[in-house]
Amino acid sequence: MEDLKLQNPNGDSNYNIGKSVPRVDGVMKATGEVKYLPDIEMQGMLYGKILRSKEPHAIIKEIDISQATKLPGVRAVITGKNISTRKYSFIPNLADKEILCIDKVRFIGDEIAAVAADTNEIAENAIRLITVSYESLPAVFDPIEAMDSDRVLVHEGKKTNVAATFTKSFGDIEKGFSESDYIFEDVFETARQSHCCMETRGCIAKYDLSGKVTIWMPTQLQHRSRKQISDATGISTGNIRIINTPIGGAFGSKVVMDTKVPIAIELSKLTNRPIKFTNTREDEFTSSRARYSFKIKLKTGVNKDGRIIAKKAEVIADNGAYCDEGTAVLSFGCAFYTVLYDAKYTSFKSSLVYTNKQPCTAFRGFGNPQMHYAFEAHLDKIAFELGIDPMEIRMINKNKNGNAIASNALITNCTFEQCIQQAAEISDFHNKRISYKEFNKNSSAIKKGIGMAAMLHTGFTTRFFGFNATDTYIKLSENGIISVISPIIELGQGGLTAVTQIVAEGIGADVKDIRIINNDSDIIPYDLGVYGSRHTFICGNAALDAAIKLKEQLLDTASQMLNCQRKDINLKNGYVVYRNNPNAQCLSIEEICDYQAFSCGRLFSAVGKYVDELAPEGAKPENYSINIPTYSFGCQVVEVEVNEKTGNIKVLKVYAVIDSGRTLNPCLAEGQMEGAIVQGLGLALKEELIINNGKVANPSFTDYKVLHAEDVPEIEVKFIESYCDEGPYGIKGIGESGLVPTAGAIANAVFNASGLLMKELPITSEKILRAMGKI
Amino acid sequence: MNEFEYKQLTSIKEVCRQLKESSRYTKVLAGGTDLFIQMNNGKIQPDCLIDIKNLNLSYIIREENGTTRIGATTNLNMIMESNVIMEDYICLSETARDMAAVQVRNRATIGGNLCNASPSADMAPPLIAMDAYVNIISYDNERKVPLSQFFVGPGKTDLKEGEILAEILLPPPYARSACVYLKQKRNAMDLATIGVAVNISLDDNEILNSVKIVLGAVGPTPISSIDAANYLLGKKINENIIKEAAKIAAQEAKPISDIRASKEYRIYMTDALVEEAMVIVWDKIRQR
Amino acid sequence: MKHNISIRVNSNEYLVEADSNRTLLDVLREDLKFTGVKDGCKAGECGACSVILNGEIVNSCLVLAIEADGADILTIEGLANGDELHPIQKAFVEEGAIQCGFCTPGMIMSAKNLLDKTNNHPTSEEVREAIRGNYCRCTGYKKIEKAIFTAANMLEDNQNGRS
Repeated sequence: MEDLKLQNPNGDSNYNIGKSVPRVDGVMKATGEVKYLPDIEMQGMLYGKILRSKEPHAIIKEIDISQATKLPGVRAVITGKNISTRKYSFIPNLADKEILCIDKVRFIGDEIAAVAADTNEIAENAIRLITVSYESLPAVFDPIEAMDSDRVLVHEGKKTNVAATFTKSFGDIEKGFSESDYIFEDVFETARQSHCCMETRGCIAKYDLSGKVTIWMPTQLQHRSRKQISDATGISTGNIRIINTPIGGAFGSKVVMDTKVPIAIELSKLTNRPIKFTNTREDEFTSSRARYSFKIKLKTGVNKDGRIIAKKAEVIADNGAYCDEGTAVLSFGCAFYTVLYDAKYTSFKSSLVYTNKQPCTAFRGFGNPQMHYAFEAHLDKIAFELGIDPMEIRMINKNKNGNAIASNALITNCTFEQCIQQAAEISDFHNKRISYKEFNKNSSAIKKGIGMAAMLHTGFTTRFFGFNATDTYIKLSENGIISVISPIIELGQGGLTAVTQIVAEGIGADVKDIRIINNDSDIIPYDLGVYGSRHTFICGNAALDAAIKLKEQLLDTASQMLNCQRKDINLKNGYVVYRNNPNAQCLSIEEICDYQAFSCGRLFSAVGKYVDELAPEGAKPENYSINIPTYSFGCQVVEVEVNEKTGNIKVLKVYAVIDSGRTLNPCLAEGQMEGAIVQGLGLALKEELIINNGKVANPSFTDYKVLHAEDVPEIEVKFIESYCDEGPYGIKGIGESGLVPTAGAIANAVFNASGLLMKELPITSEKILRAMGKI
Repeated sequence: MNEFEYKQLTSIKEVCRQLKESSRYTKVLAGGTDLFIQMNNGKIQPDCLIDIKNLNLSYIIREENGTTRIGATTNLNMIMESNVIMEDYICLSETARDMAAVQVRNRATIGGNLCNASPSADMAPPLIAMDAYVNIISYDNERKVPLSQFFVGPGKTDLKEGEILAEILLPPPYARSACVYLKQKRNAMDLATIGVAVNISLDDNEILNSVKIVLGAVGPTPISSIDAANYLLGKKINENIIKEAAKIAAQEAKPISDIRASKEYRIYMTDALVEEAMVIVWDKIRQR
Repeated sequence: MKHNISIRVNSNEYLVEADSNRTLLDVLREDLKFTGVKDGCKAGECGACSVILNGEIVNSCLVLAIEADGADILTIEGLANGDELHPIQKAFVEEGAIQCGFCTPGMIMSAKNLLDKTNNHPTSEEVREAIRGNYCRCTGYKKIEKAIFTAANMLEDNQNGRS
């Protein structure tokens, strides 16, 4: 990708912004030197294993750990009865999970007992020696059945299987329907998508007799993990230290605390040794949490000219056996559903329903991919019925700058229209619609199609928590090395590189002289974590604030050293330059630091802050209009071939247009888009955790199908450069955007090719054949 | 994986003798790519593994009479890249290329794929379609069995106690013939949901003078589609008889429904793939 | 049953005592501390454990340690020449082919094997086929494919004496 040459608003050139700087952690990863959690060994470490329920719903009558305890090399065995009765959940008022099940198990995989032993093998053998007697209970697996069931209560204390609801309406929806010329209704379903991170999840816990505990683990929420651990174990957050290990993939799976962590802490308390747990790949499919599957009922009122008047969605989300991020996922999906296409009346009603299956959790896009798939496919059907071109109907209903009609949500720097136009242009959308129609007339089995889906997502998370703020500390060593103490988390998205580039730009330093310290919760400033496309934005802003302050300090000292006016000099790539002769390097930052330390007896340091001033207000239900701080916009177009003989779908090309403000690092940004698009292709066409009677029937890559290199079509990404005033150097978040419209675009391409509106993901060849009535 | 005794032997007869006489559960180890997965799952827990990679059974030799002998421990990558295979049995090379990935193919063996006898074993349909025989050796005997009779059930072969599969023999291909194996896959690295091998030859008047249609993953063992083949034999090849033969073949399929596919889908796809395969082989012959 | 296994890894000789049921992956990671070789699935499906054994790329999770007795193994740790990265490693860093990095060692080994076998002239199809067995969740593979071609060019230049 070509570097983008962009100007700062103050006129300085952006030497580091818009530049494809090679990622700063690349070398260590390319040599295999990075140590992920499974690679870490500690002195005296014991290995933990968990006994998991084989029943989907049962009373635990008896657990016999006597044989396991006697096995040589076993150092501790615990059951629910030994530890606390405390319940916890990511959202505290939905607390429903014990560290280890005490009376009941609620899904196949629920944690019943745990062992710490000298080796993995001994721990596994010990688990096999634990016997459990159950009294089976009737179980419920379908959320619709579960909603209405009095017969089966997953959590008997809760009186209903509806764990929570989320509802948001603007205007009288029935009035909206009465004002519409036509009403359309469709029901869509999405599947449980497993994160399939390459690194299998684990943790190491070490409890000290002083009452402090240290956890090594890959996490997306360094500080809030402490709160989650505290809720589960009762240890105060001040006594919990998280060392964030390098992360081998996250995509939302590491937002919510790993249920193994409090178990590891309990074992460490008993043994006074570090306790290590690692998942097997099978664990990743069976007991790790997946994307919420949604059943989405849409009812939309439109005028005959295609203008959307009323949008109603009823969503049932399959919670699984324990609560997690479900309400947040629904609320997030709702936030964009409500605003997308600016309808006058909107209604979103959703229920999170308990079932006796593995729980679900956050996954890249966080409810928005599911809602976009449903509405974008629904919209193409509406367009078809009204005889309106799919691009045209999106333009008629496009989002614009200003306040959305229904919710008052404020949209600024809106490029929704341009994204759609650009996507149509680079894909030659209309010409291909015509030529494919012609091709299809003369082709018996192969039908070609091209479809589009637009996108509204966040450019910087939400104000859900009433708080979006963090600090960053930067210190300069006496030899000019710039240490940035930042809460930025590196998931693979390039967080470290992003902050490095921003600091380099803010100071006028060379990227190679910047180090980031980010992995110890005792050291780094408090931050909510990496999720919701927020981290470059917030950590970048805080780092930039500190960097600018440091630049001032450096130039002050430099002007003394050079005996010149402060305004006449600048910093560029680690050197002082005169503004009127920017190519002549004078002092290096190293020299300034040396002078400052040894001639002035002082050090350079700065504290940077970022505070989202509107966050407290934006969290209030009545201020829904400012719930999303800034939007990102996009549009994807997909070309497919549908083989009507075999039902096989071949994706020929994906075109993705994205506006996420200014592009900080084109290569890394493109990589984020490509990776997200491939996950979107998986959600659309291949990926599904198949659960039969509560048991995951495809707990391996043999039957949980993901895309390999030969499955990936051509992908073209185009960035629309806009400038977000609130973002560091105009940048907005991009981590999730690639995934949001993909499934909708695929469904629409298939619809164009074959006339089949596929309402269930993943769209498999068998489903195509059934839809055609061939089987 | 359970604990076991590992042995490497260099005499086939000795391997056979130990397989027969041992009181412990003993299995042969070739590539290990199926065996270790089954051992990791606890499905198989042998007490003893006899490594047969040093029995000199890794070879591909074309005899003077045109028969090709493939040693049982020849790995799939060797088969894919072999000049002999590419010249006379290109279908087998293409099938190997489409199996798993290079890391697996460098270990997995043709003998292992056949002896594991998964209903979806990819090597089986094309080999059967090419009239392959297997050479089975025991301590005091040697016998040849047509591969079409080698599979007796899912995971079960005709091997008796004390026998090992030593060699696969392929007769020279007919003149004016072509063979193809088509496999329905869910992604690039997949076993067959349905697999179809078709091998035909035509005389100078375009009459089908030999037909083999073999269906994989649609029954407990690979199914030789005899009715469809008999229907085609002696007829002049055209689109209509191809369609009809495909329908007949689909009726010979005996699939189950599982998490990969339903029974109805497998029957339907058998028809579709047989038709497609017939068109491909006809085309290949025409282009020579 | 314990075996004494003699194994050459990255041009160094090692003597390991291991049970029959331990895999090459176990021994490389746990006994010899080559943690660059990753455990992704233990079933030969993800390629994270890929190493080059006697010149051929294999999944080390499906090779017994005893089967590797006397073998020559190359892991990611053996690629760089002191401080000098191998061209494939350089290309992966420069082309954005690395995100979380977990699949990277196995992917690079597959690339090495491919470039060795094709004398640095792979086709696009060969590149995609060579990495079929290496699963990546982060990148979507495009930049990995590009990096492999970039590496091929760099190796070709090195061979021809250009730098």
